Amino acid sequence: MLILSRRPGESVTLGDDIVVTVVSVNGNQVRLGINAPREVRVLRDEIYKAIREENQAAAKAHEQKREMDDAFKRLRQGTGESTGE
Amino acid sequence: MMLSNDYDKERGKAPVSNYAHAVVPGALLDRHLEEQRLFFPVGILGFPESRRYRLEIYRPEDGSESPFLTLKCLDQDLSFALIYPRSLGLDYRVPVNDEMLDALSATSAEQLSALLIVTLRERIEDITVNLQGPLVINPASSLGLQLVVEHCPLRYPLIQRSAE
Repeated sequence: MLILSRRPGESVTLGDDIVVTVVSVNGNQVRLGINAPREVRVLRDEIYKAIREENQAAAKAHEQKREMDDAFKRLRQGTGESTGE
Repeated sequence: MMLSNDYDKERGKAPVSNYAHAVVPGALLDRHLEEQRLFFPVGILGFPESRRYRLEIYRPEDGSESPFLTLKCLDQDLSFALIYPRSLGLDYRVPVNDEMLDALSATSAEQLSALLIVTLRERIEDITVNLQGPLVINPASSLGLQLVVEHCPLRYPLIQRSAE
């Protein structure tokens, strides 16, 4: 990993069109300003990973139709007449 | 299906990804969609190479109606179960700004529709809906993208049991 020291107001340029600027440093919190083209997604890392994982959990292959049929059947049973519990 | 409305109870006003600077605070994006082909120029998070999809109305095998749709990828064997936000009974709004309208070749939020990805799991009470990563679609241009709405829950239970 490349590690650089920067002060508030200073920037790092990634490629030709992404600029990350240190806006301020306050204790253990750093505020960053990011300039990037629209098609570049800028996300907090943990959010990106969480959504990616959820998408992967939700993504089904050829099983999808059968799984949906199953889930839907169970849903209707579950929400229709009360089944104990 | 009755679902509770407490997801926004305590979260603050966290900024929202690229679209933090929402011009419109939030739009309902509540249009009905037809079956059609869709193109996601930057894919769906985790599937950047899968861009061509077909949106289909999900029809249960017994021919009854359902609130679900499927998004089938045309580039690989991949598909998602989707649901309209209104089917959850939530006042679910997503931030809209000019960049997003631009990316979807839209001129106003009314042209757009939002769909939520459903994560099917073995037990029905474990099935969740992703309110944090809605799919926003412009049916007129056949373009779509996955938005990130940080303050919404990633796993919102599909079923909030109540009488009915």
